[in-house]
Amino acid sequence: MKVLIAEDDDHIREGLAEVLQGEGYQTVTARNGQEALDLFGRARPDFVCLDIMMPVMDGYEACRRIRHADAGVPVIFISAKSEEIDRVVGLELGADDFIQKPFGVREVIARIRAVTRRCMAAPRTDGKGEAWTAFDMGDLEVLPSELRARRGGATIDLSLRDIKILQLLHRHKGEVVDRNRFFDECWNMDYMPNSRTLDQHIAQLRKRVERDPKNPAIIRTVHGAGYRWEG
Amino acid sequence: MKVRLTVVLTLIVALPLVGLGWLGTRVARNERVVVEQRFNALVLDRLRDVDAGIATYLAQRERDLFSLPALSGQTVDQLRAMARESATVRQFFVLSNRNELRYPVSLELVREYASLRNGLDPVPAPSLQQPPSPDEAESRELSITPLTAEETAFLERTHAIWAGKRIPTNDSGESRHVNISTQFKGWYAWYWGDGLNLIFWWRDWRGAVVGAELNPVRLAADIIGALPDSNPESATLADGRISLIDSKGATIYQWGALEPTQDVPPVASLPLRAPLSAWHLQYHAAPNPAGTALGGGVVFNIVSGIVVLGLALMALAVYYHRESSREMREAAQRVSFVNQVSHELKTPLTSIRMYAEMLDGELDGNDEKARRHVGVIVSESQRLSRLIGNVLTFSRKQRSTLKLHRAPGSVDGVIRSVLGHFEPALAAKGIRCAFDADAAQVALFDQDSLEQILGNLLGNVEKYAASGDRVEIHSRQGDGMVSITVADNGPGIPPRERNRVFMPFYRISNRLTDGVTGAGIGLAIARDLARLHGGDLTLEPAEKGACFRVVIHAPVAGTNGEQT
Repeated sequence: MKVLIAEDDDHIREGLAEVLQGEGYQTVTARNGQEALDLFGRARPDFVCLDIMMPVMDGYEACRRIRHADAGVPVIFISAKSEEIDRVVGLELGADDFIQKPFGVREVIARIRAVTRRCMAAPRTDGKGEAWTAFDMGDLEVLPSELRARRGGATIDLSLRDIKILQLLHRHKGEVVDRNRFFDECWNMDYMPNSRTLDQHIAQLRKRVERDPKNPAIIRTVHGAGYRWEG
Repeated sequence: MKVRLTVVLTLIVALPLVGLGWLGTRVARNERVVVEQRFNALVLDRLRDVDAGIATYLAQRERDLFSLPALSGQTVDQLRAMARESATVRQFFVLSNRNELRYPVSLELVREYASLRNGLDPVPAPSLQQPPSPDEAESRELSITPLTAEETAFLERTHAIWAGKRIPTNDSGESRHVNISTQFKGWYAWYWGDGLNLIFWWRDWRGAVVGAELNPVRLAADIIGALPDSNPESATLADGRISLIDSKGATIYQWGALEPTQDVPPVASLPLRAPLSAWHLQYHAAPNPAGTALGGGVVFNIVSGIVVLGLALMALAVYYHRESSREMREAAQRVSFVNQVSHELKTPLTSIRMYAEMLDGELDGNDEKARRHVGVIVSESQRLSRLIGNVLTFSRKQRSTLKLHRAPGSVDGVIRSVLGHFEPALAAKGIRCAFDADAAQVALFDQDSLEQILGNLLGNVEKYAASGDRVEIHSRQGDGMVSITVADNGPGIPPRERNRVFMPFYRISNRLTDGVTGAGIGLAIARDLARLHGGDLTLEPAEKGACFRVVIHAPVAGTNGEQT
């Protein structure tokens, strides 16, 4: 999924992009509303994060024009403005959520996950055709459209990247999936500068989906080769 | 607001003025009545003085007449000579002890004598000094000398007196007394010709009634001569005019600076004492003398005072209004400045917090020192976020724009989330957290506000209750209300400070708080938010430490988020 981030502050823009990339999203960034508008036409993002106070064109105007071009694309406002009127104006313009600065990373992730779930639940119009159907991995029921997994009565929140990893392992049941393939399909990258990134992510994912993370049953390590789900 | 302020200021100015005007009018009216009464009393006193002066003159005339030789002992020629020589007496008379006029002889007697004599030589007139006796009466009647023209005129003027026997001859008479002598005496006044005529009579030692008719012209002249030329004794009455009016209403004499018009009635009138009671004194005053002389001054002073006070109040109100407006503008600028700065702080703070949290997620689990450092950055950025949130919330409260955004959520979830933020900082100070959760049902409330309330309470625990070893949080849900208690084990709050701690900018000054940073608005904001939720924040009695109780109206939401 591709996210358009429009934010005039460089640190926040880059940091937000990094956070979302870490969650498995592709990102495109703009420094003002006009750039965001141009980029929206070219990159066709799945949803948009807009700051309100931006030079050249503010977030409200950018939102209004994006809505004119595509009424269905989710929009999240991220702003230091916190007055009721700011929220009301944003929501009236068709925004799906309003995140106030300063925000915590977990809060942003949770809200973007919520928007992602709504995107996946809606009929897709971009023809990408990615499979978002549920599947089982042992006693774990993975629900990609909800960015969740279920075991018994417990619900486990998952990121988009977690879903992609599990989908990849599920598609190649019993096979060893090598590291490059993970980078290619889950990170959309041919090369990962820090090879520990995959291992760290897998370790974090195991903590959530494995009954016993120290003795994994879903994501097993094949030393020197990659990872495998034996089914 | 501006209209209301204008109305209030107008009332502040107008009400005292109306009250003072009413009081002033009453005082002026009363003062005018008092002044008029004093003025009338003054005028009457003055008129009485004039009357007394006239009476003194008449008393002097009485004494002059008493000093004359006994009239009953005088001959006719002597009486005629006395009358002719006296300027004040027009005619003397003598009555016998039988109340018969012996001098001048009555016209009837003259006519009768003339018919009886019928050409005989006149009988020489006996002396009036001889006391009459009944057997001599006839002969004396016949000895009457012919009347002079003055005596004839006197008899004509006084005919009605002798015909009616009006001059008294005993104590039962109708005369008026002046007790300067033991002798019986009196004045007799009657009208004849041009006006009032006066007779003074008395009984002499011979028993005869004698008297004198005063010369009216001389009487008037003497009285006028006794009256003052002006009225220097009283500056108050100097502008008026006093008139002496005779029995026919004609002005005999008047004095004073005023020239009264005909149609203006006198302000005071006093009849003279007897025997001139047919005359009277009048006082004419300038228009509205009381108002202009004395009362007018009072009214002027009151009106002037009210006007000056009104101007002073108006100036004060305008000054107050301008000062108030200036302070309001400055306050608005301060709030706007704080608001602006707080928003400006949010952007760098967002970067700090976000990158710190990202770094925390990337750190190797074995690098405890780096994790601790990053944890401090995350914790402090969160604290800074709460402080900025407090400032902005307080700013909204000051601008009356503080509002709630109710949405379905779990109160226990919010509490856990806030505890999650605070637990590392509390643990670092040795404070353990215990949460007794019983508000898990999804309810409608403002999660941000509840986070802010709990953040302020737990922030206070972190700052002030570090000496305690634990903080206990209990949540309860029921009847659309949620109750949360936050009880620490610290030193607590002194009883006299229990209500003050909720006042904005109030900080308890003691060893506990000295040196601890804070603006003193956290509890005030927390209580405002709780009350905005239809609840309250209170300080509960506790054996040890402080126990705050938050109650908010949070009705349980249905499956779709609606209130049930």
